[in-house]
Amino acid sequence: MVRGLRPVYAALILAGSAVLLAACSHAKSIADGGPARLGMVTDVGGLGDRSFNDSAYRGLLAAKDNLHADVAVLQSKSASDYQPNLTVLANKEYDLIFAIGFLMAKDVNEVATRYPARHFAIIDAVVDQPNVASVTFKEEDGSFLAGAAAAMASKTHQVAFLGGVDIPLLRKFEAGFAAGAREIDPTIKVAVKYTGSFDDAAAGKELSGVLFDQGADVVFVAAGKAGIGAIDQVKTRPGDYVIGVDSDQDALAPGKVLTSMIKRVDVGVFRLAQETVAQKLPSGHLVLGLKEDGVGLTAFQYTKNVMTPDRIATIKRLRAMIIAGTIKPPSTREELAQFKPVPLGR
Amino acid sequence: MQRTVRDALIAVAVVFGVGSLAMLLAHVSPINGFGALLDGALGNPSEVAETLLQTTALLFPALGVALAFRAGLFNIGAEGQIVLGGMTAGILGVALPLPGLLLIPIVLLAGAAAGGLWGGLAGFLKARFGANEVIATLMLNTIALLLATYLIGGPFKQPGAGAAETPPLPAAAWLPVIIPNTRLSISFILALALAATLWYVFRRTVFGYELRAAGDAPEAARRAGIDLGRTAFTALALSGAIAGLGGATIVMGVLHRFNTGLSPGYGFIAIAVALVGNLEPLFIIFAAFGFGILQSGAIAMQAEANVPRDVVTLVEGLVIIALAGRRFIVERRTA
Repeated sequence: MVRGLRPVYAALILAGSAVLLAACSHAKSIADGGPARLGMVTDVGGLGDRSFNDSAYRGLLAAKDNLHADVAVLQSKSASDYQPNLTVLANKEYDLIFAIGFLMAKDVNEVATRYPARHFAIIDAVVDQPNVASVTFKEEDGSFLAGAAAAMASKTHQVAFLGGVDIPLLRKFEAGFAAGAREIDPTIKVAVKYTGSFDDAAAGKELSGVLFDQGADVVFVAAGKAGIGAIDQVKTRPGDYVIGVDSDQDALAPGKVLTSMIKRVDVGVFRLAQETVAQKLPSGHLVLGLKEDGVGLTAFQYTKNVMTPDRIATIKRLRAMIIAGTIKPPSTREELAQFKPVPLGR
Repeated sequence: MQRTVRDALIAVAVVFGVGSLAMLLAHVSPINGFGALLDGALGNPSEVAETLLQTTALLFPALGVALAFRAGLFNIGAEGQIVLGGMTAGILGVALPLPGLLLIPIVLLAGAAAGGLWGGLAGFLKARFGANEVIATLMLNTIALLLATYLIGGPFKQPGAGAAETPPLPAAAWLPVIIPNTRLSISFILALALAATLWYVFRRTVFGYELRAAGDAPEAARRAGIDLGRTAFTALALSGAIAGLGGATIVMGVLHRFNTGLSPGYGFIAIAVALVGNLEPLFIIFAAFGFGILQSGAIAMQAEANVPRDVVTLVEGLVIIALAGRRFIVERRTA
């Protein structure tokens, strides 16, 4: 039996050696002066989250199509995948390595220290290393506009914010939203709840139901996949609305999603890709707000019946005032407590 | 010896054969695919270090699985034992106010104890009630994972964290790195030393003989005065302790914090590693290195050759089926 199989084993060993040889030649194929190589590591949300990671991936694909960059994406199944994924891209000498999400901040910091000659970029967190570019967004600016739209659409003078996890990043959404609502209606009630995670659609559905039952008729949901649950909830509630987040979620329940506060992660990814292709390796801290089209509201495509041309004009005026610096949306609860509505003027 | 060579060749055949087929289905040339895999695992010193890191993570549970196997017991529960060992290390490493020289051994032992408790539980069920250890260890995996998810998401949750994980370990509890600028720690040396110890135990001690007697000829062993229940309990408890120790080294040497995703299935791949190594600790080292190459090269293969890394998971699963199935058939025939 064993003797009879010997030629097969010999063939296998030969095949294995052929592959090994191929591997050795393969290692030299990364020529200088070739196309820029861009790598991306998703967080555990992964591709297909219809939100954060997908948006980053759109930016990467745009860089592939328009800047002729070579791109690679590694998805993370769990938090322990972050370092191996980042390390592989660093070992393979990618020109810029994107880490999508604040969850990876510690890992980017460690890998960037181990590979000082490689360049990294992190979204939604600041990593203070010379070879790391940090991209953050003025979520409070976009959320301010969302709050204003919510206050305009509310008939009960009660709106609500439903967040994922109660951390400083999410409080930027919360504070901006509450201030925007007060800008339109200084006595409005703003309820606040957190689901405790970013992936619990059932909790999103249940807690948004509680907020509606307590009298809010517009709920801004910034909670990743939990937002899908809230959109499910609002479908059965006439007269109530939710506001989507990160990607354009208006079409998920046409007419029931008042607007979406979009965060253009793709814009940030594409801008850093442009700099990399131009051989200006990015570092430092890039902040994207309304002016840079990093955040903003969707165009009220399905909700024009409540968002009249007058109201949309007001939103546009608020946007211009934030860009001009006349209005400074608060980004923390402390700043929110100090916030006073600014007279709109004509 | 001959059997070991044959098993290893079967494993290599499955890996390259089925792997090539899967790559062809994904419209990638197997030469490019496996080329990227090997280059990603062994292309430069820091990649070799990552491969040895994966080797270490597989070696611990594989040695544990092999120990139980020697006594004729299938420990499918290494995955859960890794999780509990890691969790114990993650919690105690933060909680105990001790200097590193004391802290590291104590936390390592606590991790081993947690895994041993879990393996011992299956051993107790086997010895006391005759419960099948395959079912018991398999189901205890789920319980371990849910228990850890509950404890880390609830009572031991790090305040303000976006993910369910323990706070970072203090540097005193980190295992020292042996190659600068890599993540390879002394856990690699620890795993090699453990393999050498087990080699000695299996070959030269009464306990090693009892294990083999209970596994190979249980009826004869019982008549010779070996307490089969006690041997089953001890074997499964030790098997779990070794896997739990592995979990603790992942937390203390690699992640420096615990989260429930610490093992991408090391406990299951370990079964293949133990079988390819023919339950001989010294051969298992080489088997673990082989699977370590697959584990660490898979990521580069996905980035560089566009082959989904699930191809590696697929071939690893098939190696288990091929070897475990063969072993099962051979034992049926000889029984």
